Amino acid sequence: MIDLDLIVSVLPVLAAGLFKTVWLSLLGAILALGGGILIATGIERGPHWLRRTLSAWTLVTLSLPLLVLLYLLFFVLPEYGLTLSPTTVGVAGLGLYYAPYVSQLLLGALSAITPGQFEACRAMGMAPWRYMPRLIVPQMLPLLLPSMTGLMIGLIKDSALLSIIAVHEFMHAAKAAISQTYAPLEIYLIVALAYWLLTSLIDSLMRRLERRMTRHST
Amino acid sequence: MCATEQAADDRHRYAFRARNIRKTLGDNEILRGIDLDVEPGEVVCILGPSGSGKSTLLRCLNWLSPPDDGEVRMGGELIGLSAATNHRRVKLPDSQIRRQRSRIGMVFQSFNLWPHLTARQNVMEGLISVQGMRRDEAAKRAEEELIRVGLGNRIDVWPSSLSGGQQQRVAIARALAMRPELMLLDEPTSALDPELVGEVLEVIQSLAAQDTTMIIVTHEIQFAADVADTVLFMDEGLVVERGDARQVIHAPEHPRSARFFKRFTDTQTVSRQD
Amino acid sequence: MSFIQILVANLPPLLEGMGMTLLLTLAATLLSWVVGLATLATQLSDSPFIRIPGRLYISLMRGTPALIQLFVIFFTLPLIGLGGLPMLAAILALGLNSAAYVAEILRANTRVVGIGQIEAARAIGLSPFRTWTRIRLPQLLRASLPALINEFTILLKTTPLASVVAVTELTYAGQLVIARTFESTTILLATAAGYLLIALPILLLAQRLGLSAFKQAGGRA
Repeated sequence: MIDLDLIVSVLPVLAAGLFKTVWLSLLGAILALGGGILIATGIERGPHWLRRTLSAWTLVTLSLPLLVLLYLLFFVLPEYGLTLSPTTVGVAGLGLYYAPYVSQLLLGALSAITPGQFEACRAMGMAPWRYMPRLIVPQMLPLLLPSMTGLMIGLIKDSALLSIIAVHEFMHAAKAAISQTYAPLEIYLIVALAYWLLTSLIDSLMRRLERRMTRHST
Repeated sequence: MCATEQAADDRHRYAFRARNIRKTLGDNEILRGIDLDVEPGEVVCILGPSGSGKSTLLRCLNWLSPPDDGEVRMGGELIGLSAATNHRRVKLPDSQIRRQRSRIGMVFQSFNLWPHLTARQNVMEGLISVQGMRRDEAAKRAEEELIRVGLGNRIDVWPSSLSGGQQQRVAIARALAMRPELMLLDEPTSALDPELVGEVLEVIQSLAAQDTTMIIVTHEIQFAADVADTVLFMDEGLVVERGDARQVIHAPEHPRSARFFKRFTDTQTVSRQD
Repeated sequence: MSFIQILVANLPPLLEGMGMTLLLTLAATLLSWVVGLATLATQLSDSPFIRIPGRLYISLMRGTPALIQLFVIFFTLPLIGLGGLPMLAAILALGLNSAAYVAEILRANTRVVGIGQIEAARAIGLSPFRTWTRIRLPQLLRASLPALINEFTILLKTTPLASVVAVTELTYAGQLVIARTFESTTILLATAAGYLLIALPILLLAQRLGLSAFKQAGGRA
């Protein structure tokens, strides 16, 4: 049967792993957001060849499993002189994998803004760098929030893969805990519960934010 | 040069002129060589059937949708193009075009208020972002403009809580606050429920009474007859007839304009008979 | 040895791996449709005792990493006498995970059949069962098709997880070859190409059917 003392003894290890997971996921998310904005800008305002390249790249990342991408970054890059730490590979992999998804969401939300809004800004003599952040992006946020949350939750779950390339996050901590307690099922169930609580928390937080944001939209 | 001659000279110098505006979209030649003159304080109404290119023309005038050929001058200054051209059209840098646009106010059919800003903030935005005004000054002017259009009790309200007519009046206040030299109004009442049209027309009428220079594209022929100095009748990308508002509407000379206005004058005579 | 030479020399195990990947994907997809439909049924039930467990299932499957789900199933199977079957664990894990998403796709599309049609069916005297099988389900499935195809590609992308429990699908097969030949670059690129070869045609098909292929994203690994 389950030895509670043993389980409690490994809780600190697990907690540290969970913290690492959240941290790495955040870093990956920021990378994905930045990459997504770059890709979206490139597709929206870039020359024709850039648009086609980026769209093709997006299709490739859609077909490529994250694990294979991580392996590619982890094993292939060193052969060309770029040896990155597992953590760097992990965060870069998450960012690269999710950036195209982010860009698609951004483009979708952008196209949902009526052209008249842009006309009003331009007719007044505003420059894009002025009106995009103040007038257009705030209108995009309520549209982006639900789908971005989905991506964030997905990213957190996908971060579990990083354990396979020996990044010391939550799953990795679970393995360490198992080697100490010899109770794989119990540990994995606890870890699963923790992930579930985390993702549910994010989901409900975002839903509340969304409700506040759509207070006064037409 | 005596005073009146000087004054007339100044008026001509500050006039708004468009010459030979042409624009093709896809396969369609939407504008086939339009000329336009507006004197300061004059109200020009552009009337015509759908598809005649009226809205496209308006967007050419403030270079929102640059014409393929022709030039536009505001007070003698060339809009959108570098003055040092000969036969090549050289675009002005974006920042300069934007500055020119800020001297022209535009009101849209679908209002295009920014939904996440209150009425006051909508009016303030251009003042702060484009004209570099201080927040408190902008807030005060915004308040004044909103009172001018009759929305003194709706200053800090969200657009979603305003009726269509009220939203359009905010849009007019937003354009006026920038103190433009010229106002362009693109079918300002076409998207409004009939009972809300009146309040917007009233505001435009008061603007006309205050000598605001305006070019209005509209379907409201009676309104054009009341408020306009000059009427342009457009059909299929050309100005078919132009002249004094009352004369063009009630006694058109060209057969096409006659056909267009006949429907209007017919309903007029019918209603006058009861 | 050049890229091509290495590739050709190791093609057999890689192709076998691809075959295993396809088998895994198809088996898990089948399971996901069956369980997904059953889960949808729970969500449409009037009894909370049926609805809530279903809701819980969906929430758990979508809120936890598939990797953990695989491990949990992998370590549970021996307890019910089905130990030593990593392939089974993989099919179960991937299938049950995908089922939750299938259930959500179907649920989102139940609105396709408007209340008017259901009323018409009742007016004719069609039994609820018949209304379902002849009127609602066919339309529901047709409307969900693009999203279901997309889900298939996503499931395909989760199959590399099975390599973690030593199922010889494409990724694991590649790893074995690399262990033997040390040609990581070539083999990994070949592995990547293998997945692209299967997924891209399907993605393009889904795009033709009108679904933005980016609807569902990530979180399935």
